[in-house]
This record gives sequence, C-alpha cells and structure tokens, in this order.
Amino acid sequence: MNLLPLIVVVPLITAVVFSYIYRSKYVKPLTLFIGFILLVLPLLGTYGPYFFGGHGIVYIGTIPLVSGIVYTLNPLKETMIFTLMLIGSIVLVLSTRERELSGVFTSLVLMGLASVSAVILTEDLFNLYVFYEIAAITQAGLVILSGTEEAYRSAFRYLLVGTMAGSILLLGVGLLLSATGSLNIGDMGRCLTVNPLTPTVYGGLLMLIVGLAYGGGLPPFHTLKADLYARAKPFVAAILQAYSKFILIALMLVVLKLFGNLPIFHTTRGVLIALSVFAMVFGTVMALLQEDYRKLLAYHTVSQGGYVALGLALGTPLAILAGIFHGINHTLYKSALFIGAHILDKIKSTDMRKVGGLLLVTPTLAFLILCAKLASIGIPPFNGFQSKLLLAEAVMNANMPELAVLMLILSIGTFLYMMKAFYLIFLRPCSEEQLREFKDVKISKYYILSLGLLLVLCLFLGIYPDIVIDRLYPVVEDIGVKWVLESIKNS
Amino acid sequence: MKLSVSREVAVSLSFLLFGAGVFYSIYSIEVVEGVNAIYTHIKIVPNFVSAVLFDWRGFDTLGECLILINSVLVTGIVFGKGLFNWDFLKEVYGEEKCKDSDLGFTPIVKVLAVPMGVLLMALGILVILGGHITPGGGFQGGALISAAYVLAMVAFGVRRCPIRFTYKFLESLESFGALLFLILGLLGMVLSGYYLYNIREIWGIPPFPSPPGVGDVGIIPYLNIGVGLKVLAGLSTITVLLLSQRIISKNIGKG
Amino acid sequence: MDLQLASFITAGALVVLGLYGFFFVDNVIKKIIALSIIGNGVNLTLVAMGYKEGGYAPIYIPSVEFQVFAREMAYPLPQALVLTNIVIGASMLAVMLALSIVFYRKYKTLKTSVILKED
Repeated sequence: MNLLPLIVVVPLITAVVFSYIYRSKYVKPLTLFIGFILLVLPLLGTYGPYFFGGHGIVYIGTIPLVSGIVYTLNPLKETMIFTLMLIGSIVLVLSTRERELSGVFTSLVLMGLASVSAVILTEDLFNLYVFYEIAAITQAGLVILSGTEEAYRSAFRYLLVGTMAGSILLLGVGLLLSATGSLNIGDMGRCLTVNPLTPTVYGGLLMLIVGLAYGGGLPPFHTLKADLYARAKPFVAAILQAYSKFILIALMLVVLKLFGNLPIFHTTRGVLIALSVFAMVFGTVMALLQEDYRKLLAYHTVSQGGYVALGLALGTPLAILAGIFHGINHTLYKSALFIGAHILDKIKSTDMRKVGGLLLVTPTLAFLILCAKLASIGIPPFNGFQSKLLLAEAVMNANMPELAVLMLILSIGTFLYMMKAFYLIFLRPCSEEQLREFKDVKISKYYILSLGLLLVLCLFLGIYPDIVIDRLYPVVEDIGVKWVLESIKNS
Repeated sequence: MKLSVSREVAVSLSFLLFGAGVFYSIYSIEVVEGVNAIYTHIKIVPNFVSAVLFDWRGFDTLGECLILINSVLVTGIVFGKGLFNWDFLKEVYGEEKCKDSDLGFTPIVKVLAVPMGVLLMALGILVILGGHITPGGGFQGGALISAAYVLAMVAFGVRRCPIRFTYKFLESLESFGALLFLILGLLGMVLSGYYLYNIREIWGIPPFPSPPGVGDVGIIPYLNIGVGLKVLAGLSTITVLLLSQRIISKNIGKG
Repeated sequence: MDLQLASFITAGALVVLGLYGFFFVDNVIKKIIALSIIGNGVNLTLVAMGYKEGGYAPIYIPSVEFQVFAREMAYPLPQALVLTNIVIGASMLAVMLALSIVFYRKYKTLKTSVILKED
C-alpha cells in the first residue's frame, strides 16, 4: 500500500490534537516525540502518482483526463520534503527549550509543514491554492506568537496583502480552468500546447506570477517577507524561510510545467529573471545597511530567494537543478544562521551595537556561526559554494554572462556584510563586566547540537554534492524547457 | 515626500494596467467543458455538488476544514492564546475588565431571537443530514446553526445568551469534527488503499442506511456531519472571540 | 443580453473595484471590505463559468431522463470550488478583523497610515 498521503495527514491530525490540548503538561514531551516522527514521514511514500479517493484517469472520447486529485512523488519532491521535515523537526526540538511553549506553537508548525508538503506534492492547482492559503495564515500566526507590536503589524500587513494575492491566484486558477477544462497540471499543460492561446491564458499566467511572487517573497512583495522574518523569533524565522523557499520552488515548477513549452514562456522568462535579479540586488543592498542582525539575515534571505528564482526562471535543466539545489542548501545554512541569531537573542540582543567580544565567551558558537557564514557566502568546502558554482555555470551556458558578473559582485557584498556582522558580534573588544554578564547566560546543548548537525550536513553536501544532484537530475531533465536549449545551441 | 508621490504614481499605474488586464481576461473567457463532462455524466449521489466536494475532490474539502481550524487558532493567538510574550497585549488592554457586550436591543428583538434561533438550528440540522440528496451540506447547515447562536449572542449579550455553548465545548466539537473527517479518510485508506475513498459497503452493509435509488451514498453523510460540526463550532468560536476577547483577560490576570 | 457575459463583466468590475479600494482607501475596515469584494468577484467568475442557458441546477430530478439531465446540467465543479473559497475567505476575514480590533484599541483610529506605518 502506498502511504504517500500520510506525509500530509499525520502532521494535520497531530496539529488538530495539539491545538486541543494546548495547555496540557504533556505538550513538551509530545512535541519532542513528534519532532522525531517527522523524520520518518518522507520515507513512507512510493514513487509515482497517487489518486485520492481512487479516482483515476477517465477517458472522454480518446482524451485521458484525471478525474480527482493526484499527488506524485519523485526523488526531487522527496529530497525537498526531507529537508523541510528536517528543519521542522529541529525547530520543534529546539522549541521545547522555550519556557512559554504551548501546544499552539507546535500545532502551527505542524500545520505549516503539512501544507507546504502538500503544495510540493500536489499535481492539482486548486488543491495547491487551498494549502497555499493555509500556509499564509500559518506564517502570520507564527509571527504573531512572538507578541510584540511590530510582529502584530507585520503579520497584519502580510495577511492584508496575502488575501489580495490569494484571491488573484484563485482567479488565475479559475481562468486556466475555463481555458483548459481541467485542474490537473499535467492535463492543463497538454491542453495549452494543443490549443491556441487566448487572452484568458495570458491573464491566468499573470495572476499565477502574482501568487508566486507573494508566496515566495519576490518583488513587489519582498519587503513584507523581510519584515516577517525580522519580526518573528529567530528560531521561528528558520522555519518561516524554509516554508517560503519551498513554496517558491513548487510554484516555479508549476509555472514551468504549465507554460514551459509555449511561445509566451520567452516573455515570462524575462519577467521572472527581472524579478529575481531585483530581489537579489535589493536584498544585498538593504542587508548592507542593517544594524540589527535579524534584519540583516532577513534581507539576506530575500536576496538568496532571488538566486533560487533566477535558476528556475532560466528554464534549462542545469539551471533548474542549480536553483533547486541552491534552495535546499540555503534552507540548511540559513536555518543554522537563524538558530545562531536565536542564541544571540538569548545572550543579550540581536542588535549588533549592543554585543561584542563573544568569541571569548562561546568559542564553539563562534566557530559554528563562522562556518555557516562561509557556507552562505559560497566558500568551499561548504554547500553554498557548490550550488553557486552550478548556478554560475548554468547562467554561462544560457548565454547570459552579465548575470554571472552580477552574481559575483553580489557575492562580494554578501561577504562584506556577513563578515561585518561576525566582527561586530564576536571580535569587537568590549568591557570586562559586559563579558561577565554574557558568561552568566547558559546556552542549552540542544542549540549547539542542532547547529552542529546542520553544519555537518552543509559540509557533507559541499564535499559530495553528487548525492543530491544525481537524484534530482533525471526529474529536472523532464521539466527543463527544450526550446531554450535548442535556441542556445543554434546561436 | 517626493518618494511617496512617486510611489503613488507607481501604484496607480500598476493598478490601471493590472485592472485592465484582469477585466479583459475575465471578459474574454470561453469555457471548455473538459473534466466537467466526467462530473456531470457519472452519478454518485443526487446532489452533484456534494459529490464533487466529498467524493471526487474530498481532499480539497479537508484542506478547507483545516483552514477554518487554523483561522480559529490564529484568532485565538491574536487575543493572547499561547503567546511567547504578552507585553503588547498588556499595554493595549491594561486594567480593562472584559465587559459584557449587551447592545441594548428592545424586547421585540429579544423575544423573536429565541424562536428564530430554534428554527434556524432545526433547519441547519436538516440541511446537514440531507446534504447528499437536497441542496445543502455540511457548510451550509453548520453556518445556519452558528447563525442561530450568533443571533442569540447579539440580542442578549455573551453572558446572558440563552443558548449556552461553553468555549471548551465548542473547542471540543471543532476538534471532533475535523478528526472525524481525517479519520474517515484513514479508514478508506485501510479498506481500499486510497485516502478518502468513498466506502460503498463494509461486509455487505452500507455504512449509512438510505432508501434505494439514492445512489452510492457511502460515507458522504458522515463527512457532512463532521464538516457541519466543525463549521458550526469554528464560526461560533470566532464570533465569541471577536465579541468578548475572552482569552486576553485570562492571560493578563495570570501573567 | 447574454446572462453569462453579463456576469463576467460584473465580476471583472467587482475585482477591479476591490483592487481600487485595496490600494487607495485609507481605512483598515474599508480595505478589508474591498478584499471581500475581490473575493466575491472571483467567486462570481467561477460560478458564471458553470452556467448554462436554461439548464438545470446540479440536483438530480428523477422525472428527467439521466442523459438529457447530464447534458443540460450546470457544471458542478465551479460551484464546489466557490463553496470552498467562501470558507477560506471567511477564515482570512476573521483573523484580519481580530487584528484590526487590537490595533483600534491601541491607536483609537482605523487609518492605515497610522496603524500600518512604516518603521
């Protein structure tokens, strides 16, 4: 029996249970338990399609149409879900160290994990929309949990725009439904290649891109996302960025599957590349200006989201591979950085002007965070280097060397602000009594262990990237846009 | 100042372009039948919308149940449920006591609210149970019942409301409804291998007794009941929260 | 006039109107109302997609032959999607209203320029 739906259903059931028993004293042990269960979930499914309710393919005349909702699992989706569940598990385990933990937090994290895995797995546009909305509400709730006025405000802004973007996304789904008569992505893509394009299809594409930009944090919605990451508690921001990165990848893949083989993809590609380049540049420039470590990380997340989107927007198999690989790598090292920021928050504050000289207090932490920073800048032997190299190679292959130059310049910018943050937090001299004050704070072993685990993974992927790349490549080759390759060969 | 003007211009321009695009693409819709042909030509239960909601695309309905649960949870969080830090809410609400919001309606409203509420509840139960045969279903029926509750609350105030659902009861009802849906789906998976499979019969006995000629009713009525309970509890909980902000007072007293 | 086309035009007008309200009105509650107008426009688009001139509602009538009924019936899929979307809209609305209650208590105003000011 194929146990694929359990990836979504088990977190949902536990989320409902946790929201009911949120004040019970068993919440902490149960959260710890669920955290380990999550790691088993991605292994449950078998590859191939899964038909909900047993409604398979029905023929109308000679045209095969999928009658119900389909999930598919392939190595690509499995890797993405495994990364997501790993981050979720780490965040849940860390949350048991919080004094005010209640079942509400666990419930929201599980709900988000379930909905994002559903967005990744689904082959049905309306189902995608439903779970996309669940993810939007969940992210707002997770930010509100930190309880400051800024958190309330950024969540409110996020929800206001989110409702608009969600409605627009649904309108796009409706338009595409009317033009193709199906909600299954494969069927829709096939129908679009056969029939002539109408204004309805163009409208649907435009609206899908609006939904994608909102869900993934691309311009013009990037400031909302950056605000969201900066206002949440840092270890919550670790899971928030994982959510939006995977939603971005999933929606980009949907756009590629639907429109990749159509002539309008040429324009779409230009628009998407422009959006992602803007996100890259904007994120880097804004991060250079920040005094607060959390905000710096938030804008860094936006700029790295741009890298991921750039890879996927280029449309060649190599570029898609690079984009997805960078997304996975980025999720890993950025979670490590956010957990580091959380420890910093525990010690004193994330404001870089108020801390300093922490190298003497916690040398282990300093070493681990330095490693994470090196990974994020893209220095060997960490995974960030491998994926950025792959992305640069893909950009060169796609005949856009100017983008590679831009990426190099932005990497220098990233190096600058990351090292500035490292200097201000760990190296800057500070007074004796301040150091004594910092030393009084106990740092839980859990934080160091989880940081260590994430960095070992980063190092491992940096040395043996083929483990992931070989799994992803066959899937990505199918999605890759054929004519882009041909036009490059011809020129 | 200059920045805000240029931003206004940019917003106006993008609004105009986007609005024109939206309008034009909606205007030029031409509907392709496609998968609708399957949904119209295969009869599962007499109410075809119910068949789409609970049989063909049951998983969407599940997602939609969970969004309501999620929304109730997040509304609770806004009013202080399980926050990591209550400083902002303490600052906003301060010493203020949770007061009863009796809007001072005249006896006419108060006298009429009770029988209307009873009627609405009866109608709601009818709509939920007959959801697979007649127009209606879990959502509509649940919304009707919660409308009765909201009507009574608005007329009498939260404390003296004649329909006494406690907050804990509503919470249990909501969790029960959602779990019923999720577990019925799992049951289908155990019996047939497909999640949310519409079980026609278990050992020759149909799960829901219905007269002949109605079709493969299967577990649709139970799913309807689960959704109905969840919608009724969810909408009522949201209204209670918005009217009385009850969680806040509790937490501020504690913290 | 064709009822379906009229519905589409109305739906488009609702969406554009809602977008206008969302972008340019300086009041949180009015913004939220504008959002639900957009949602209603989308719902109307979906329902109108399932409309058939002189068709039946998608509840089976035993007195009509099934093949005829199936051909003449309005499409049930868009109606089911709308039912789902209504609940989603209500959920989003509830959270936004709760947030605006809290902010109104804090600032005693509903102006967006005050409540959602950039910082």
